[in-house]
Amino acid sequence: MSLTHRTTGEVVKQQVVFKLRSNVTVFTVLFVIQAIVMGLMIDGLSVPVGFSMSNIDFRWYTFTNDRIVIASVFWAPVVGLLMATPRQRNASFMYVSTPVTDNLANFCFFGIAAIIAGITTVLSGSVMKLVMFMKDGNSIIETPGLIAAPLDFFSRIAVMTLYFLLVMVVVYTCMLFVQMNYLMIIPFVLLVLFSTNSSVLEFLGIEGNITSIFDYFYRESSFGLFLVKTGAVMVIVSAFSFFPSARIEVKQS
Amino acid sequence: MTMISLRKVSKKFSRVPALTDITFTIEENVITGIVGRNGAGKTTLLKMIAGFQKTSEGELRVFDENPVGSLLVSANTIYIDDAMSYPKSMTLEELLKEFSRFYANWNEEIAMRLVDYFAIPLNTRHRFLSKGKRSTFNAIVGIAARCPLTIFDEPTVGMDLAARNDFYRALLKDYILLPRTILLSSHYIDEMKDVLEDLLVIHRKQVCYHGSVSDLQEAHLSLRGTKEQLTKGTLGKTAVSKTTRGLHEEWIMENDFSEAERTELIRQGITNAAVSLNDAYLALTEQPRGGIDDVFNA
Amino acid sequence: MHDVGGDKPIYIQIADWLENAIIDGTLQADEKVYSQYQLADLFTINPATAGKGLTILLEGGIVYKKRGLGTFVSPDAQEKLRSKRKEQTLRKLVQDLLDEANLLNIGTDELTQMIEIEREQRKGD
Repeated sequence: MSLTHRTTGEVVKQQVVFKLRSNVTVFTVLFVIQAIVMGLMIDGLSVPVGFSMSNIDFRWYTFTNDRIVIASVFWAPVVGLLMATPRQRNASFMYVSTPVTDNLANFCFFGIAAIIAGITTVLSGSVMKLVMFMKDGNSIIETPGLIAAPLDFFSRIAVMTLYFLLVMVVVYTCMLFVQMNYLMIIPFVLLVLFSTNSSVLEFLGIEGNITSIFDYFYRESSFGLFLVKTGAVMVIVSAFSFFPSARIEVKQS
Repeated sequence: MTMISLRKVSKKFSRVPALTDITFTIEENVITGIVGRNGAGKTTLLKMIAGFQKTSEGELRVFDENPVGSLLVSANTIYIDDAMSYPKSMTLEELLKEFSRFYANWNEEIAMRLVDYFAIPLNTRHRFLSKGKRSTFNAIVGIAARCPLTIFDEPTVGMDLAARNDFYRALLKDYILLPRTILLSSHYIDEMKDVLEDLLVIHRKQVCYHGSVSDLQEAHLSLRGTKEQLTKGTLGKTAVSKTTRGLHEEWIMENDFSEAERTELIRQGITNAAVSLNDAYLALTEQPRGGIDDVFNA
Repeated sequence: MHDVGGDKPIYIQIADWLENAIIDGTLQADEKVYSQYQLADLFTINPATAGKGLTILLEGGIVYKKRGLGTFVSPDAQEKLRSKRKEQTLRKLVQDLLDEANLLNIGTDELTQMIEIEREQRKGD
């Protein structure tokens, strides 16, 4: 029987399709979370603020999709964690796969997941506006949407996508290192500790706290610079991930 | 053409040796049975060949490549065991569709016919099947994938006798249609001995026999007689195992007896007979039948 | 294989089976013999093992090969096998018979008589 020769690109493409098909739940969970949070906010959280002056009644609602963003930000690391589990790797290797194709396919999966999450998160804001508008016929919407400022709308999607992607890639890579060697938990735990606990930072004589790390990305006002920063971090982190992924054995049970 | 070659391969799991100093080669289109006692290292060997695990020492080549990280090996190898990592969300039908996308030689017709024959419900999930049906489904995948290197680790676990026989027959029929290199491991040498060409016996983390099935059988001879007769008749020969059978004893000997010597044995009242493959294997791996008796006689 | 032979290696069982077919005339002189793949399918055995069984017959001159056409029964195969079986198998059986007879202290006359009775009974069936 003659041997079949496959290219890396072909196999990665097939693996991405397989990963999407076998992990549909990941997206169902995202949509359900977003829907629940949205429902809670529309129903209970938007308390009207207002005052009356002689016979004129002023009343306004404020609502944002911040909570949806927060909920989705919790979802992203779970996706990163999930794709790094031995179960996922064993499933890929049941079909045609190498550590390299598996890693590349996972990144593609993250890309797709992040784009979907980015779009739905930003769209959830629009949906909320729509719902509020229908509930309260004479609303005036403040933030510009797709029609008013399409560039702004797309840049928000891009920013959200990059955030999600960054979180997934970082968590995924950390998990791979931990699987390669459980002792790798130590530096990661220390890192989290240092970055979240200001007293630890103070003790070490470092000013600032967790926000200083997130500020590095979050406070960036130039979209271009933001792109460069997150892009660079992602490339470095994902390049690192090839090291443990080539060393973890498959089907170790 | 050589498909698999190992030279002085060892495997350790955090300093505990699992296999030591393994050297052998497997040629194209040979069906090789891999047997050994529990914990002999069969599964580790198969996982290394499939490229799932690394060797600790030595050189392992599959299709003349290091199987770890090799796309060529992965694309041309299917590994079937009783712990397949099917995604929980997918039905059997969806799983089969994925196999057909990944494996170039996948034969949909054979797969579907076998699924029908074994009455496997395709709309269910693998974990909802009975243990025997699960193994049967895995085995169907292994046959239909028609991979140049097909590896079955304990494929018949949980299958009833009829399913076992059907599996080996199906595998053999498909092999005759499209010969390929097949590795089969099982605790039960008897159920698979007929479809094998070669046998690889692993004992105490090492290869203790690699050759044709009939050669192993013919390398041994079974003698029956009284203890006195056998002691006298087999002077200078090596007994591999001795078992008491009523008033007589059965000794399994290394077969270096000439025709004249065998006639002489018969004249002395010792019957000699061919050894079943299973007995030869048990003798080789120091599993004397009746050995358990000693536990109670002590 | 659940045929005769028990513990004998399978390839020998295959050779025996083919020999029997030639002796009882199922396979005639110059008739085509099953290929190793047909034998493998017939008995659910490895084709290489079946091939080994055929090789025994080939080496014994019981069958011959026609290039590209397959394996055929030698013209004198039946005769050869008859005398071989007589010399080996039958003699062995006679030896066993005598062993048992000696053990039971039965003389040649009585033995011949038993054989005659057995023959008569079989004719009646």
